[in-house]
Amino acid sequence: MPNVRASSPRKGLLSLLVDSDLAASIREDLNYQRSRDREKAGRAAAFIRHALRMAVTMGPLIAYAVSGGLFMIAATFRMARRSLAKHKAFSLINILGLSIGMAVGLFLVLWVQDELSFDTFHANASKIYRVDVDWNGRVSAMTPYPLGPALETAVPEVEAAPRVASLGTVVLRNGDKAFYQSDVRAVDPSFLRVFSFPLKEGNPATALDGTHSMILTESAAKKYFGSEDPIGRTVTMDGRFDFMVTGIMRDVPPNSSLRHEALVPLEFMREFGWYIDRWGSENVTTWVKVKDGAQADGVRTKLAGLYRSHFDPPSPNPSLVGLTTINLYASAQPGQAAQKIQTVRLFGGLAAAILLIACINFMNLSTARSAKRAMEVGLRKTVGARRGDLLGQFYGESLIVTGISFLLAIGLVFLFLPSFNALAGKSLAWRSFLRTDKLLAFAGIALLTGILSGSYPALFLSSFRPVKVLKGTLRMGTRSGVVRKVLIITQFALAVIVLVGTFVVLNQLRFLRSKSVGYDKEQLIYLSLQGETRSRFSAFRDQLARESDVVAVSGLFQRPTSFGSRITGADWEGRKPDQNPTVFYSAVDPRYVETMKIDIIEGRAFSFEFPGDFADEALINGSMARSTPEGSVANPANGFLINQELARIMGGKNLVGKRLSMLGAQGLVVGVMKDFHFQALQQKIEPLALFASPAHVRFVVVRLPRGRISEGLASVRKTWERVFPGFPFEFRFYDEDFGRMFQSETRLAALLRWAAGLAIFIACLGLLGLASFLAEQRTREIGIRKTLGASSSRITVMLTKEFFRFVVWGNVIAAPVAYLIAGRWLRGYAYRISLNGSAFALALALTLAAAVLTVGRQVLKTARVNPARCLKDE
Amino acid sequence: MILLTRIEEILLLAIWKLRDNAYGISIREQVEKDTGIGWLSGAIYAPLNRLKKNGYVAARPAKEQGELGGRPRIYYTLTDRGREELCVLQAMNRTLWSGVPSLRREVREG
Repeated sequence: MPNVRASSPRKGLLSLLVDSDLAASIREDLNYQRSRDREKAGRAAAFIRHALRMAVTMGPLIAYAVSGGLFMIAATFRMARRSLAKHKAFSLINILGLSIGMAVGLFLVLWVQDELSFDTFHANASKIYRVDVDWNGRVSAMTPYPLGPALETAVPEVEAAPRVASLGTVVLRNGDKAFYQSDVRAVDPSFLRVFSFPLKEGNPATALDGTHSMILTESAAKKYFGSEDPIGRTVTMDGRFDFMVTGIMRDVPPNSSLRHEALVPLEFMREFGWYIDRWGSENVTTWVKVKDGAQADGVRTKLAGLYRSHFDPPSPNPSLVGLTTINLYASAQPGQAAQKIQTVRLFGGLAAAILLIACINFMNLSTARSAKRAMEVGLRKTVGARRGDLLGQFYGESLIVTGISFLLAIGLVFLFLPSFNALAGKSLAWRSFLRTDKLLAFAGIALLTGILSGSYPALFLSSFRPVKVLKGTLRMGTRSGVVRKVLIITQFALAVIVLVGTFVVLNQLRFLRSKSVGYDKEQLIYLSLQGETRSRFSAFRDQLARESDVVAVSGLFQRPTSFGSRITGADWEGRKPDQNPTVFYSAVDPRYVETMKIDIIEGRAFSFEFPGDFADEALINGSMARSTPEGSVANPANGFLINQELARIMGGKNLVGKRLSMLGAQGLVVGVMKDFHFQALQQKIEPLALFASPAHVRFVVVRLPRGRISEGLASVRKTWERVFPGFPFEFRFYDEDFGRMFQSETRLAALLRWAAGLAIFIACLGLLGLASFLAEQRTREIGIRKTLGASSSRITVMLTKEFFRFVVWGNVIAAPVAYLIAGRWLRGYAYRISLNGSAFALALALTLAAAVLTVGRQVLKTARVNPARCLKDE
Repeated sequence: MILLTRIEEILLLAIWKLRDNAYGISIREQVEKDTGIGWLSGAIYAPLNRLKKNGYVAARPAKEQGELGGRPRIYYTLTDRGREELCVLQAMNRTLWSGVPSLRREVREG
């Protein structure tokens, strides 16, 4: 029988079911019977019998093994349940802390997954890039009109380079339904090929043909056409341009960084008057789709070459930004405190800190109980438990606690999802929670938590030597005490970091809110002029100025609370050759400074009494007939108002009357304005020049009388409807705009407040557990102290001091870390609070107060103990 | 005392009878000879596994190498506990069978 052994596998199911001795016997027997069968019945029959015999042998062995395993699990579960029920307070504190920590972790996973899913729905997502341009440190996604076509013809790797231009806010009208429509974009036809924005109706290949076709999103179509079929119908823009609806697009998903409600062909921009066929302009976003198999690096080099050949050195530095990285890594937008990725890191750090605090609680409470459980461990070991069994028991216990906490955590997530959405500005649905990948991630978190928090007690408790424990020579509270102290100090340190962060953010927010914008922003509203209404601004202004309920009226070209246009190449008397500042500019109505209540430091404001202030009206009227494109105000202005920042660059003093030329126009400085914020308050005040040109006004600014705002608004509305019949009346308060600018800071502050509250709450839970444990352990010591003459108050002071020490150490350790983190965050702001001790002092006071409240009752109870009672069994 | 099952009792007896020659195959053949019926391997080894786990039976490898130079064959012997258990069972069986009326059917006349 040469193949008796060779045919049997050494490893296999058998080895898992029984020990190696028995497995060897079974294999030997099965092979023996097989070879016997082979002699009697032949090879094939022997094989079949062998297989059958194997199966029926395994059956009972499997049944036995499984029943044994189940028995073990059931036993562990029963022991854990008993242990949990016996120490109700401990279990409650553990489960409460852990479930809160885990709920925070779950929210984080939900949030991060949502952020990571941005723009991934495009089929070509990995091949689409945006061209960003670095203008000597200022990075912009705005590129010149000719770039897209140049890329398509000059770079073979580029399949398509669709351009996207924004029309800003326009008035769209269908019959009597007219609205101010934002997010209207003009795009190249290849836009629909490159991006996956599917059309519900219409042909994507032809929908953007010609210059007057329009694609509406489903919700926009519903807004203008209700239940009617919009295809082939006409939409009027700004009362001047008629478009035919050629397609209906599915609504842009919320996780898209490109947003649009209506698309028109880019060629329309020529007619709209904003098409500038010059390389020097910055007007459109250029997207690049590289060909399959082509490398983006090749495109990068050629792109840089294109820029070098069209710009004088030092030419701006273009780069390609991957579509899917834009959401997380794109540089911060005005009114947004930081890049998304920084927010993701911040969220992650907070959630990890809270989860860690909860895990530490669990470890601390378990080790604190180790003195009590040492007896149990000793006894179990004496009756034959191996270390592995005890490890199993303790891990089992912690996994059961984690399991319960996990279920509770899911409940908490369910309960607080709406509040979280409000806090984080998200619209996460409960539905999306129940996806396999997410559930796996959650289970991973739960398992990790269980193992993390169960490890220390498991490894520590199971290592007890039974002899020492049972003889009572094992001294608790030396090594384990140190570890416990370190853990609880860590907990408080983490809580203090979050707390200091909260104070710093709140202070910075208060500082920004209370910071003067440089003009009186109360009772100030603005209205936007669209299309035809622009040419009748002067009439509107003059009629409105006559109303008694209106204090002052003016207007300007730029969006009132966030000026966008800037140029380089300004020249002035006495400019040094190396000076080439980027200067923001706006055309304004002469009474702008007066209406806004901006202070004039030197010289005077524009005035109708000085016709020389004005840009040449005749020339402007000539160019207005063709409509003036944004950013190319090429009309000579005769007077400039500059801000302090620009004045500083121009040499500081005595600037009135100096020659200044910019935007291709010559002029004289008539006055210097005190610096005011014409962009978000987070941003530095940049150099600014204003020139007087009522013909360029796109926004009307109106100051209403204090205390009679509604009367004032009624007057404005009446005048609007008289002058611009048929145009919807909409206005915005300056105040509202500023409120919106702080959205991300407000959100961060709210989030931090929650995080700080939870961190302190969980840390105090741990302190409470520890306090009650120590009180129990030290009653005897306190009894002796009292017998020897210590008063209750002395003992109270002694015990409180010890708990204070944890808190103070936590603060001491946290302070430098918090200082660094907060300092880094504050550096993102041009105007910021200085980091002083008050935030740290407040954090210390608050944590101390929380600690006193938590342990106070327990300490008093311990201190008041009757020595006779606790010492009677000595 | 936990009463052993019948097959466990039979197995313990087979191993005791085989003395120094109790290994997988011989045990199964002994059981088959004693009971007069064929046994499936699973029906033998699952209880053997249980007996071993519960300490009635001990396993030891043979001193010499296996037939083909492979692993030494595993021999089984009763532990003290196993032997005591058999004594108990023997006494119990004796008690069980004592005083049992004859099971042979009497031949009736007529």
